[in-house]
Amino acid sequence: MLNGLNTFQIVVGGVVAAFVLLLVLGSIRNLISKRDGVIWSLVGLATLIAILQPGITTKAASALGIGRGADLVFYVAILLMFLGFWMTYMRLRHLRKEMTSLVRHIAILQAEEGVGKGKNVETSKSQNVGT
Amino acid sequence: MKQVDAIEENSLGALPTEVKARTFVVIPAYNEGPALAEVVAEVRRHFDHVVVVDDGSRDNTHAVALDCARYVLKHLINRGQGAAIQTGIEFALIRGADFVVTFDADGQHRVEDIPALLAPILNGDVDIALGSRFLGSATDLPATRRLVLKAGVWFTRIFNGVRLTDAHNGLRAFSRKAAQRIHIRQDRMAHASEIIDLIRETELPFVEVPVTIRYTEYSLAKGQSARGALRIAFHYLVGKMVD
Ligand SMILES: Nc1nc2c(ncn2[C@@H]2O[C@H](COP(=O)(O)OP(=O)(O)OP(=O)(O)O)[C@@H](O)[C@H]2O)c(=O)[nH]1
Ligand SMILES: [Mg+2]
Repeated sequence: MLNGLNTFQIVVGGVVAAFVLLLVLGSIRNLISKRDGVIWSLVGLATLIAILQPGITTKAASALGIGRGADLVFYVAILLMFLGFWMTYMRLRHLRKEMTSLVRHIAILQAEEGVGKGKNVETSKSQNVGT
Repeated sequence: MKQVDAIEENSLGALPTEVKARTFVVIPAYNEGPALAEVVAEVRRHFDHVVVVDDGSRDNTHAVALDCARYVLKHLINRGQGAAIQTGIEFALIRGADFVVTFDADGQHRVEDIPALLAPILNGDVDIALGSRFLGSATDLPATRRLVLKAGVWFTRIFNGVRLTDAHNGLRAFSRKAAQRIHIRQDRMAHASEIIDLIRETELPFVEVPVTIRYTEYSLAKGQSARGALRIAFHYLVGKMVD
């Protein structure tokens, strides 16, 4: 079966297949989230199919009324890029929130009392707390 | 929303010492070394429990705060104004605060306005008092900044569904109950809009109180730009969508 494949299909297909394998192994061992693993493995598999069966994108494109297969690939790539950005952004937000909790916790634990502590400023007019 | 009247009667002198002693003033400060000492000194003439939250400043803010504030909290990394305020509020609650006031470090707020904010809470009318520079006044407010703030008011009307005259004012007062129930999760500037949402969700009664905001060259250089406002709107909307 490999005889029918050109060099491009073998090289890029191989890379994508390895990528999918890594994703599957990664999510099994909990190195990445199950959700990310499933989403990106499916994307990888779809890419693999498109590489091995180039005609299939054209069929899919005409079924969707887009015309050329290359156009469909282009649109899907853009959408996936946005999905990737969004997921990274969400991850970043989550990390920031965790960082804030940590920073807040330390700030409260290590609260310091200033120099003018315990003095009721109102009762002593002469006091200059600013210096 | 209820109206506040007879603010004149609630001057700082008339505010009972016992109330002052139960009030914590939270001052978030990010690189405010030049302004902080004066601001804290002014507040501490009337309120002992001044909590400065140094938000990971790179200047001498921390040293200045230790010199003049009652309590100094330090964010090891800059987390933004919303995060700093939340840290200060949590600390104040731990220390048993009955009233929490938030006050900017850049010299824009007046300590004289605090009694008017506390009055409706003391009366038991509301749990939250929000300062409004458009009910009160804003001295030397540039036209562009006014425009941005007014846009913020409209933004709040549309997205928060709350009618306010000034939606982005750092001078506020909370009852202990309100301080416990309002948990700010917007770390940066979008917390102002978030607080309005939280007020609506918790159904805590609130009031807007006229205050005076002073615009100085210093505060303007540090304040928010129109572009900054767009970023804030983005943070707010994302937060609303995903949190
Ligand atoms: N800009 C900024 N301010 C912070 C931060 N953390 C704490 N603050 C404090 O938050 C307060 C308000 O900051 P400003 O940037 O002046 O915001 P503002 O007063 O709401 O907006 P303006 O009306 O434009 O002045 C000051 O006391 C700052 O020191 C931060 O990360 N960034
Ligand atoms: Mg300011």
